[in-house]
Order: sequence, then structure tokens, then C-alpha cells
Amino acid sequence: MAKRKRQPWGNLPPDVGQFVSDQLARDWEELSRPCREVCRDCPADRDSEESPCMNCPFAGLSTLAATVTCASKMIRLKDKLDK
Amino acid sequence: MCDIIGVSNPTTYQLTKGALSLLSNTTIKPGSCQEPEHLTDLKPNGKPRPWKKHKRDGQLLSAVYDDLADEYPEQAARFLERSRRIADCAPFAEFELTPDGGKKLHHSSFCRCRLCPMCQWRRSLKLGAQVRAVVSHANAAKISRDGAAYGWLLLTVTVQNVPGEKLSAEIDHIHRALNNMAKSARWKGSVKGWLRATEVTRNFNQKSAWYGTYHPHMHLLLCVNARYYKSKEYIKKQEWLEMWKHYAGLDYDPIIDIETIKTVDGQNINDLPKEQRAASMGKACAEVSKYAAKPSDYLRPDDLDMSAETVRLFDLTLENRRMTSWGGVLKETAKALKLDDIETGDLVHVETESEDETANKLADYVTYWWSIGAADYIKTTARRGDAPEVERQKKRQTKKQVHARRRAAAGSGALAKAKKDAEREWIAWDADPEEIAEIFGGGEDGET
Repeated sequence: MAKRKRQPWGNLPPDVGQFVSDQLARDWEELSRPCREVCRDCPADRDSEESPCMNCPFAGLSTLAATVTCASKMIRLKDKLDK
Repeated sequence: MCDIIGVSNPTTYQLTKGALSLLSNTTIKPGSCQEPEHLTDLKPNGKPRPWKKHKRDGQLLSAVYDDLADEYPEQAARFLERSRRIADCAPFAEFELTPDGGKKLHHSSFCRCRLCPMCQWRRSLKLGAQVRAVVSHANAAKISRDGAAYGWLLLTVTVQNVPGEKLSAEIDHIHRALNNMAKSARWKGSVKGWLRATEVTRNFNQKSAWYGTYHPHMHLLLCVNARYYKSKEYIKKQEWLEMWKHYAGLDYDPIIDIETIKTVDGQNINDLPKEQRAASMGKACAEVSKYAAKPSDYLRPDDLDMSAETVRLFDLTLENRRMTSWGGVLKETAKALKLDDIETGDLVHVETESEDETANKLADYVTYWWSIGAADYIKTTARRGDAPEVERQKKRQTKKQVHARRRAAAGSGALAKAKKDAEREWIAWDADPEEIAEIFGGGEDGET
């Protein structure tokens, strides 16, 4: 049975998907650390209905940096398993 | 000055100022300098609804599930399925433009995963609307019967923090304890109805002795007779504590909180004019309709390992659990109102009333799709269509027809063929030509 594959970023066109996969193969854990930690100690209550984070440029930055790190971790783990 | 930074395939993809739209029906014309229009959906108080925030959090949660699939191969199917569903949650949002210039959600597609921040938000809105409806109907019935409304209390009962492995058993335990307490004569004599909302939080304070442990607790909206405070029905805080301690079988004094629901300026809710009472219940409604587990408790961009561990535990622990329930007169009222189920119901139309929709009136709709590059919802189409209710009926009919066709196709074997075709297409999306040739015996070019 063929193993199903999933694009790391949803349904990207093949050429873009390949480009993204190549980029994600880098170790983003350390590279993205300053971005991921930019919200540390911020007094905003992220869970509140009135959360100010939605309009904060750093909220998107830290979330996307964490998403990229997770995706890159996954790709590198897969490579490790394949080897 | 044109800001288009590149067009890889003018018929399908557009890039402008770094915002990548993967839609063929994008409003941005090739070569034009049109700025994408971001979604602004405002609440009546003028503050924006947090679509963008919840979608971004959903993307992170999807990646965390992907990560979990690799760490726990034996549960990979479960986690990958969650990841796919959450990543595809609310890819678009179609709004009806209201005469006052506002937007009302008309159509979207939600994944319904327990931990999905978007679906949790929609569920909490739905529960909030239901609580308001039940409270106002119960009060109206009471006033017409006795001439006085119910009094409302907000009771929070807790137990000590527990480690992850004991969380599931502890949630069962506090639910059982509440059921037993609700059967006691003292409770029955005082409390006429209640809404229970269970919530789990996690201690992230590294300086705390309870760091990393979980805190299950319950918020209860209680309705009592108006004479509660001046009669034997009154239960003091210490008595609430003793009761909870007894029924939960605790050997320590638990932390509990009981407060009368009052207006912002401290007035008793029953002293207000009728029309202002419902609005003043807002705070209590918000408290009990909170999420079962806050997204900020399991999604910590700065601590991915802890995020993964918490997501895994919540996913396994909170599955198939009813985190909210009605009791007493509130249960009867909710039943009489035939309210949609919070866990499985419609997450698009979260308001309980049908509102003033005129069947023959045309309505204007505007659609926004999530754009990966812009990390926001971008406007794609605007159209004029039938009234929302007419469109909903049409959709229901189409759905019925599709289901009927599926059933017919399943009988003829066409469904199996369609599934196989879809499988081929799925694999062709990112598999290399050699792999496809190996699977399907050659002749494929690897492009969709």
C-alpha cells in the first residue's frame, strides 16, 4: 500500500512545496529562537476575548516561527529515521 | 509604484507584497497594484473578532500534532488526522453584509477538533449565546409564575493540582462528586438549576512547587430563588467549602469561590429594569462559556516541547468528554428551547434566535480566504445572493442530493473507483515520477 504523503504547508503547488521542504530541512530550532521568545514575559493575556495580540506584529511572528520550527523538526526527524 | 514581487503562474497564483494567495478567483488582477483587503469583522463594541489569531494558533497546533506523530509512531494516524483537520479548519469565511455595515458569518468549514483554537472559540460563542437564551427564558417563566426573577450565583470548585497521568481520573472524580452533591437535600433545597463548565489549566510558573501540573476545576452558574439571601436556603461560603470537601472526599480544604452575579457597578441584578438584566449576565456567561482548555495553556511558541506534551495529554484526556452540562430548571429550559448540541452542533450560526431574515430579500455576501503568505484572511469575492435562510435551505437540499448520489455510487462500485482516482491524485501531488511508476506500473508523469 502506498504511503500517503502530506505537504508540510498544506496544498502548496509542487514547485513551491519542494522549495519550502528544502528550506525546512535546515535546523530552525536555534535560528528561530529569538523570534519564538519575543513574547516571553509579555503582560498580554493571549486567551482573553479582548486580547491585544491580534494586532501585535510579534504575535504572528512568534506563532509562525514556532510553526516553522515544528515543521522543520518533523522533516529532520523523518530524514533521521530514513537513514 | 507596483508592489508585485513575482508571478509564478499568472492564471493561478498571485504574489503581492509577500502575500501569497493560492486562489484562482483572487480579486487581484495579474499585473495590477491592488492591495489585498484584509478581514475586519468587528464586534458591536467596535473591537475586532479574533479570526486571524485563532487561525494562526491553529497552524501552530497543526504543526505540534505533526511533531507528535513522529514522536509517537503508534498514535501517528490519530495525530496526523488531527493535524490535517486543524490545518484545513476555516480556510475561508463568507459573511453576509448587514444593513448597519457589519458582517455576519454565513458560511465556513470548521474541523470540530476539541483543541482547535478556532473551533473552541466558535463553541464558546455558541455556549455564551445559549446561556443567555436559557437564562432569559428561565427568568421570564419565573417572573410570569411568581412575579420575581431568579437570583444568579457563580460557584467555582477546585481540587489540588495533579500530574498529567492522574488528570483523566481526577476529571471523572470531580464530575462524580458534583453529581452526588447535586443530589443532596441541602443543594436541592437551595439550587433550582445549574450549568457546569469544566476547565483544565496548567501551571507554567517555573518558580512554583506545582510547576507542570494540571488544575482541573469547574465553574457553575447556579440559579436560586430571589428569597435565597433572606431565608434558610442561604448557603455560606464555609458551608459550600464543607459540602464540596465532603462530596469530593478531600482531606484538605479546597479553594472555592462563590459570588453573586452583580452589575459592573455592584448593583443586584434583580434591581435592574428587565431589559438590562440580560446584558448584565454577560460576565457570568463569559466565565462559564470559557474554553475547556485555554489555547494559551497548551500552545506556547517559546516552549515547544511542553506544548507537545500538553497537547498530547489534553487530546487523549478530553476526547469524548462532555465538558459542559445543564441541570435542574436550566436543563428543562434548554430542552424546551431545543438547543443545538455544543459538541456536535453548527459552529457557523452561533446565535440562538433566528433574527429578522426576510425570505425573499436578496443579501450581499463577501468571502475571505486564508492566505499563507499574508498570515491573514484576504478578500476574494463579493456577490449578491438569496436571503441567508434560503441559501441554507438550498445547501441542505444539495447535501441531501450528494448523499443520495454517494449511496447510489457506493452500490454501483463507482465510489471505489473515485476513491482510487483520488488516491492516485494525492500521491501524484508530491511523489516523484519513479515512485509513481513503481506504484502504478509506469506511464505517469508525476504532475497533477
